[in-house]
Amino acid sequence: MKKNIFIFLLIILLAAFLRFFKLADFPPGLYSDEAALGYNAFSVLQTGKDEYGKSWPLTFQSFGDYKPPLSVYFIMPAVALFGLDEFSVRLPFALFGVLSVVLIYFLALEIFQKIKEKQLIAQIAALLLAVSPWHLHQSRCAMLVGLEVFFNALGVYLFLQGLKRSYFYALSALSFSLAVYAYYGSRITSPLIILVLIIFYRKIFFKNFKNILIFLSGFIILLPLFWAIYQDPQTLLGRARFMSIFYDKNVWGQLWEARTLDGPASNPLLTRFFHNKPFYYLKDFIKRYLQHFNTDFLFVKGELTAPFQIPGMGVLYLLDLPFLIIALLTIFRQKLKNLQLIVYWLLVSPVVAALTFMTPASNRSFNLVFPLYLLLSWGIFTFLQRFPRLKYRLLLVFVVYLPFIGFYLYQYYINIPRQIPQKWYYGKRELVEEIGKLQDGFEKVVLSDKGGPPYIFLLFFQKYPPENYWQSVKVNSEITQLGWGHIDSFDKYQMPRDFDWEKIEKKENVLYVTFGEEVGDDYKILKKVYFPDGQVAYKIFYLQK
Amino acid sequence: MIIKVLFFLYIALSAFLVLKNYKLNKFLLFLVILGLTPWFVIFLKTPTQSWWLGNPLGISLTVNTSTDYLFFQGSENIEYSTQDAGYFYLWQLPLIILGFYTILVNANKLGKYLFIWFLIGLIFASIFSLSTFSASFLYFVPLQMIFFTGLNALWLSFKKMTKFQKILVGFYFLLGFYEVIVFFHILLVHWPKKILLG
Repeated sequence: MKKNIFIFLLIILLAAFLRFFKLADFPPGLYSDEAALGYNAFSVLQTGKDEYGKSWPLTFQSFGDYKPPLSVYFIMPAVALFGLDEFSVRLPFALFGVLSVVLIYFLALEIFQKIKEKQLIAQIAALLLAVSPWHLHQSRCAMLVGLEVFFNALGVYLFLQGLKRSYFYALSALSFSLAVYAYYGSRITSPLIILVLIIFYRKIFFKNFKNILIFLSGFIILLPLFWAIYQDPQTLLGRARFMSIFYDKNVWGQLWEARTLDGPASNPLLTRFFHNKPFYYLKDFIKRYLQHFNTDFLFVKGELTAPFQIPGMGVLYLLDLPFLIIALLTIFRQKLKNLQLIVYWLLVSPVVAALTFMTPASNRSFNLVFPLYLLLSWGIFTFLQRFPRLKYRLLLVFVVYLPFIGFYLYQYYINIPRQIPQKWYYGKRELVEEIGKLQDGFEKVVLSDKGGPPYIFLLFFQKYPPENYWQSVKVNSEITQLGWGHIDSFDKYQMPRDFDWEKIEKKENVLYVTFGEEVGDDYKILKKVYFPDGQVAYKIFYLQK
Repeated sequence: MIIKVLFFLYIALSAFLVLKNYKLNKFLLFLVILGLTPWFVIFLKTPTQSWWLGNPLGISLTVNTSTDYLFFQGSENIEYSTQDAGYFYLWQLPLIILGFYTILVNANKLGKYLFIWFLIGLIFASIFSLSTFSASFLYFVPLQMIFFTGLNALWLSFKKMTKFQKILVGFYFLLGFYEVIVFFHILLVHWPKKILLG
């Protein structure tokens, strides 16, 4: 018993170390969404209102986008304690990352309760999640899904507890509700997971009408959300509708191409029979859904879009592949209901991601991590059972995984700053500090929007007073096709939309800030900010008299 | 330098776990021999710029197991793929999964034979990454048989199904039939035009 507690604590220690080590510095820079969450937390903490002056909102507007509220409210205590910086913004996510490792341990104990060596399986699951590249990446940045996945998994765990003591149903519903407040995707994912749970355990759940009432009572915290949706329908989906396959023109393009290839001589009814929206959308959805189970995404290339890309590797380790195959091959031979639950949980997890047009997406399909690592732990355990005399089995698993972990850490700490620092808006802190030093004496500061929305970084790194911001801000109400809004100016800062150096008005007594090499060195350069590889990230200059 | 030291420690720790029944002097001898082995000497002498885990076999393997390749698009070479459909129908996918399930859960000789054939075919096909489509035949053939095993399993369980389940299966095959018609339309009408357009 003592040995198990010791091993568990060691795993948690490892998980905490990997999540908190140089948290403010890696990922390098601060993503615009992280800055927005942080500044809104700062603003609500200072004034009770967000950056748009809305009191204690249930959806946070930024960049024309609407963000769910839980992250901001969780960041607030960190900002109150440590001030507004990268560490405070990422702290709740790292903390919930560690808690997720604790949770998967207990979840595995619950799911594998009928297996004699359930302790070993739970330890493997916790260890693998602790060193998981996918989970580490999402735990070290403020990207919403870390919280969502934790609360969804906690909801599953509490539901399983509810099968024994019914009051846990209310806590389970509460947890699922928090997941809904954490991420828009959960407005689909959580109901799907709940549906799987209810279908799986229908005999116990529906045995007593009281269970249904207790479960429903936990959703009471969703009432303010329903009220907010009633008042402002944007609260329901936020930017999700701009990301949907139904909003994207890809399927329309395919249909147009197919109908064109049929030619004008073709019978219109026949053309419609072959090429119609329901069939094309169904195919598109299934294609995107299956992409999340492709070996390319899982083990070789991973996510290819910023900022979730880990260069040169998948979202899982290559070594996970044989163990996942073993797990899938053996899990249905075990006539244990809980084991099969994992597979169904796995199957519903990427549904939300498949409804969006940028696939495969490691953040939107992040719900996969819990069922995947539970499966993986089962696969490794099954494999280890072939060698009953083997000792130090957990240590052996760790040692076998070490080169893969080493490779991931090398990519994360050495190659991401080298290869994709711009995707994390590296250099913004230094840039804002330099602007602060140089701006006195200049009438205006004009900033390019090429390297990310500049206003949010100015607000964040200057800890700009929200009241002053509300007074001077000029919001551009036009929303782009991808759902982006724009801030034209505040204070002495001007940020022309679609900044083009050739087209903007050039004046003396104005400080200009541009991205990379979009402007040559013909002007009076006051400061250059560099990426870690020595490339120019930003230039600060003015026109010489 | 750190990577080299870590790698050495990793080998030493692995050896310690694997060779734990050996005495200390044998363990030390292992390390001495390791230090004299050409690949390790070369590893120590050359800069560690790229890692050895990402290999062409792995990448080609993922192409062959990609659902996009199998069910939606096929090869990137338009002469070997219509681009609008894969090499298997989407409706075959559930039956392929059922086929795998059947052969592996029943675990009879034929099932094992099929599974091993599929695996060997897949691995060999992945080595010939330049002519993916032709090489894919190596595992397409057993996959087709696995699909048929799934179909057979569905057929055998059909009689035991409820009316509702039978209607669902009927609807599923109707969709499958529709997909077949659409494929032949693409094959005969779209594909020649696409090849001409390049």
